[in-house]
Amino acid sequence: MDLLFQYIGLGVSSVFQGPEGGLWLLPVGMVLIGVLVGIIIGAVPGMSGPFAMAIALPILVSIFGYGNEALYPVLGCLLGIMKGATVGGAVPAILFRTPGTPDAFLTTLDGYPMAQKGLGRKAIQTAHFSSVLGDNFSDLVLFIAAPAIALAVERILGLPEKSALIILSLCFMAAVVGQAPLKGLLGGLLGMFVSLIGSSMSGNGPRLTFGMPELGNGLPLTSAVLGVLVISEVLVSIEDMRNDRSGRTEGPTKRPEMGPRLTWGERARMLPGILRGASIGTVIGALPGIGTTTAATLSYDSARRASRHPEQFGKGTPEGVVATESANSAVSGANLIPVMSLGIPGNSAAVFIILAVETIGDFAFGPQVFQFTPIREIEGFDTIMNAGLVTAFGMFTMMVIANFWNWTLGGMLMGLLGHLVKIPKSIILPVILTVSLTAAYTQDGGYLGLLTAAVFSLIGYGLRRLDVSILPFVIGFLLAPTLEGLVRGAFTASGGDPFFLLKSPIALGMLALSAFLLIRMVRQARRA
Amino acid sequence: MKKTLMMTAALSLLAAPAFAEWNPDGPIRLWIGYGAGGGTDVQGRTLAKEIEALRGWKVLPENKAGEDGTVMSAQLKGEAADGQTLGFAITTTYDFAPMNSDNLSPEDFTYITTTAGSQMAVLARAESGWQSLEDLKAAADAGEQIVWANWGTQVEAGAEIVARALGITVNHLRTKGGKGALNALVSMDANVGWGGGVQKPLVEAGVLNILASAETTPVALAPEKPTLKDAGVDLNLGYQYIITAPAGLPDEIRDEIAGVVAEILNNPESETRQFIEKQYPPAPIVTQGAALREQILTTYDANVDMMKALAE
Amino acid sequence: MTSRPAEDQADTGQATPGQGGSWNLWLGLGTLAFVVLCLLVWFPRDIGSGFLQKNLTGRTVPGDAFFPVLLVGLMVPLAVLLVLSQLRPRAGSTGEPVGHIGLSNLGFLGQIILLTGVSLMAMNWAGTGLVALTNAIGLTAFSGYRAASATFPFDVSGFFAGGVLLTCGFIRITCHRLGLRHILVAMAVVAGLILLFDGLLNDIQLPPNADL
Repeated sequence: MDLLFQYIGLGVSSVFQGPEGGLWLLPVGMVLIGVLVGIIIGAVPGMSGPFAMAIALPILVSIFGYGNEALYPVLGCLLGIMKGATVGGAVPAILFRTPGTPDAFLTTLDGYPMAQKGLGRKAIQTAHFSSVLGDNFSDLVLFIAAPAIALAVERILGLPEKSALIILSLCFMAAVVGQAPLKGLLGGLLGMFVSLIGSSMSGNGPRLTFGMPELGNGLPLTSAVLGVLVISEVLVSIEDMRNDRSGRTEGPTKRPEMGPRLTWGERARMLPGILRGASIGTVIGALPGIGTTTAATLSYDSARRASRHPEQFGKGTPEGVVATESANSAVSGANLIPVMSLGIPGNSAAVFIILAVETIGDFAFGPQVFQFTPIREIEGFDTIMNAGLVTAFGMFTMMVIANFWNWTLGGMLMGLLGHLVKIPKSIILPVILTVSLTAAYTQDGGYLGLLTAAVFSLIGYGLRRLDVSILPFVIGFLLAPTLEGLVRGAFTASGGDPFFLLKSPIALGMLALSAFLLIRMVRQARRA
Repeated sequence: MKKTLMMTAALSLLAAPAFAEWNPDGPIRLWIGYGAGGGTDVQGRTLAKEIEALRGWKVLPENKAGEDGTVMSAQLKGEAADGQTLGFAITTTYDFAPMNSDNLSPEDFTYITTTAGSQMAVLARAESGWQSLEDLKAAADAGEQIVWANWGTQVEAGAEIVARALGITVNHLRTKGGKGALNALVSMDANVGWGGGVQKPLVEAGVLNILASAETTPVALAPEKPTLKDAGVDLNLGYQYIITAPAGLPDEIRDEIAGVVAEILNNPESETRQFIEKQYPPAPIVTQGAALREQILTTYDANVDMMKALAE
Repeated sequence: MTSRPAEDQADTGQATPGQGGSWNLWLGLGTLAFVVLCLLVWFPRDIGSGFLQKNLTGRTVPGDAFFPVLLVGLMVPLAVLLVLSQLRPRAGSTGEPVGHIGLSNLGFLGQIILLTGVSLMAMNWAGTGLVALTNAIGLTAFSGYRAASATFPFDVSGFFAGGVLLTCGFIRITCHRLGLRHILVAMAVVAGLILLFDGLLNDIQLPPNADL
C-alpha cells in the first residue's frame, strides 16, 4: 500500500517537475490549452474531439519533439482536447439543435426544447454539470480498473492468450460497430493487411513494397490514420457541400432567452440520474468499439423507463439532458481502460492517445506498465523504480487537471460559446485539409507521408460511402504488427506446434467466443 | 545565419590555395537510419548541429527508419556522391545486412567515420537469479525451456552460436528492435535476450542482469562480467555507429567530413561527445577512411563465413 | 470518427435496397479477386521468405508470408458469406445494409485527385522555377533548387504556391465560387503554417524539401 502511495506521489509530482528538477508548468498549461481548444472545437458543428486530436498530434510532435520530456505536454494537450470536446458539444445542440459533436446528438432531444422554453442557461448548466461529473466518475473507475486488470492479465496471459485476446476484441468490435458486421470484419482484415506492407520481422528485407525502398519501414502510421479517419470525413462533407447548390447559409438561428441559473438543490436532485448515466457510459466505454452514441441512447432509454414522468422525455426535461450528457462523457475515461491495461484502443480518441504514446519517448501502454517495482534509492547512483508506472500516474494526474479546468473554465466558457460567431464550415474544411496534408508531410517522411494520407483518405471515403464502419479498419491497422509478433512468437516458442493457439484453455475460450460472435454476425447478415 | 555562411565562404576562398578545402553547394542532408527520439537520432541531430556551428555548413537531419538502417541505405545508394547526402546507421547495416539483401552490397557505399560503439550483452531477468552463462546452462540442463529474444538474423545467429557452445537448445524469439527484445524479457515471453545499449535503465533498476559481454571488452555497466570470448565462445557482436555516403565519394570530401566529425568528437566540451560518453560509454570510437572501409569489408567476409558455418 | 446518427440515417436512406445490395456482391467478388491476385501474383513476387521457413537451427518457423497468407485466407469465408447472403437471401431480406458509390461520387473523386495532383506539382516545381527566374535576372547564382533549398524565400516558395492553390481549389468546391476574401484566407493559412513549421520550429521540412 505504501508503495502505491509512493508511486502516486511520484506520478503527481512528475507532472509539475521539469526535466531539470524545477517547477514545470508546461504540462498543466498544455492541458489548459487542450481543454479550451476541445471545448471550442466541440462546439463547432462538423468538428469533433478526435478530429482536433488528429490534427494536433503531428503539430505537437513537431513542436515538442520525440524525446521523453515531450510526452507530458503532448499527451496533456490531447487529453485536454478529448475531455473539452465532450463538454463543448452540448452548447449548439441545446441552443440551435445542431449537435457540435456526434455524441451530443441525443442532447438535442431535450436540451433544445428546454432552450425554446426559455431555460437555455439551465439546460447548458445541466449539461455541463452532468457531463463533467460523468467524466470524473469514469476517470475514477479507470484509475482503479486499469491497474487491477493489467495485474490480473499479466499474470495469466502468455503469447497465445495475448494473440487470442486481440482476435477476440477485433471480432467483438466488428460485431458491435455499425450495421454491417461482415464488411466491418473484412475492413478489419484489410486494415491489418495494409499494415504489413513494408517491414518484415525475419531480416529477409522488406515485403510487399512494389520495389519501392521508401516503403521499407512500412506505411507511416500517423498519416495513415489521419487519412482514413479525418481526411476521409472531410472529403465526404466537402462532397455533400459541393452537391448542395441550394446556397443556404448555415448561420445560427436567433439565440433564445437564456433564463435562470441552475440551483444547487436542482443539482443535488440530478445526482442519482448522473450516477446511472455515468455507470452505463463507463461500462459501454470499457468495451472496445461501442461508441458514445450507443452509451447515450442506452442511458436515455433507461432514464425514461426509470422516470416517474416518462411522457416528458423529448419535450424538454432536464432528466433527458442529464442522461445523455453523463453517459457520453463517461465513455471517454472508460475508453482508456483497455488502452492502458492491454494496449487495445476502443474508439477514435483512444487511437490518437495510443499513437501519441507510440510516437513519443520510451513509454508504451500494456500490462507491463503496472508492475509495482519496489522503489529503492542507491547512494551516489539513481533511484530504481518502474518509470512507466510513474508516467501512468502522471497521465492520471493530467486527466484530473483537465477535469479541474473543465469544472471551472468549462462552465464559464460554455456560457460564452453561444456568442461565438460560427466559422463557416465551407472554409474550415478546406483549411483542415491543407493543414492535415502539411502535417502528414512534415512529420511522416515527406511525400511518402502525404501520399499515404491521401490514399488512406480514399480508402476511408470508400468505406464511409459504402456504410462500412471504419473503426475495425483502423484498429486492425494499428494492432496487426503486435498480433503478427505475438502469433509468430507463440508459434516459435511452442516449438512449431501448428495448434499453438489452441493449447491453452484461456486462449481456446477466447477463440471460441470469437467464433460465436462470427456465427452470430453471419446469421444476422442473412436475416437482415 | 546567412552572414556566417557568406563569411565562411569568403574565408574558405582566401584559404583555398593552402588547404583546398571542400564546401558543400547548399545544404547537406543527413539521413538517420532510425526513428526519431532514439539514441541514434539524438546523436545524429546533435552532431548535425555541431557541424553547422563549426563549419557553417547547413546540415538537415531527416529520419528514414527501418530494418536497422537498411531502408535508409537502400535509398542512399542511389543518391549523388557529392557529400551532400549522408547516412547515419550502424556497421551491422553494411557488414552483415547486405548478405540477405538483393539490392545492397558493402561496395555500394563510402565509409566516412564511426562515432560510437555498442554495449552488446547477454541479458536475463534478475528474478531468474542467473548471474552467468553457467547458470543459464544449469537451468537449461535442469529442463527449463530457454527462449532467447533477438531482433535480427545476425544476433539470432549469435544466440545460436552461444547455445551450441554451451551445449543447450534454445527457442529463438524474433522481436521488433532492441526495445522489443527487452519488453519480451520483462514480460516473461523470453528468459534470455540480447541488449545493445538500451538495456541501461533496466539493468540499473535491477530488473535485468548482464550475464556476459558480447564485445571484445567487458561492458561498462558490468565490468566484472566476462566477455563471450573469455567464456570460450568466439563471437563479437559489437557494432559501431557510422556515417556513410554513396559509393564514389571523392576522397577529399570524405576526409574533410571525417575531419570535422573527429574534431567534434575529440573536443571534451562537445555536446555529442558528452552524449556518447553517457549513452555509449566509455568514449567515442573514431575509425575513418580507408581503415574503416577495410574493417567493414573484413567483418563482412567473416560474417559470411560465420553464417556458412552455422548452416552446415 | 464515431458514427453520426443524423448522417448515417441520411446515407442509408439514400441507398435503395436493390441498388445498394449489388455493392455487397461486388465487394465480395472484389475481395475474392484480390485474394487470388495476392496469392498468385503479388505475394510470390514481393515477399522474400515463404509461408514457413527453416531457421538457423533447422527448425521450421513462420516466414514473412505466414501472416499475410493467414489474413487473406480469413477474407475468403467472409467474402463468400457476403456474396451468398446477397445471392440467396432469406425471405424478406436484402442482405447486409450497404451504401452506394455512383458516377457522381467518382466524378467528385476525379476532381479532387486532379486538384491535389496539380497543387502538388506546383509545390514541387514552383521553387525550381523561382530559382531559375532569379538566376536569369542575375539576382542569385544558385546551381539549382537543391542548393537553394535552405534559403528563404526559395525554401518555402513551392509550399506557398501549392498550399494556396490547394486551399483555394477546395474552397471553390465547397462555396461554388472563389472570392478575394477566400484567397486571402488561404494565403493567411499557408503563411501561418510556414511561420509555424519553418519559422518557429527547427529541422522541420516543408514540401518539397524533404524529397530532394
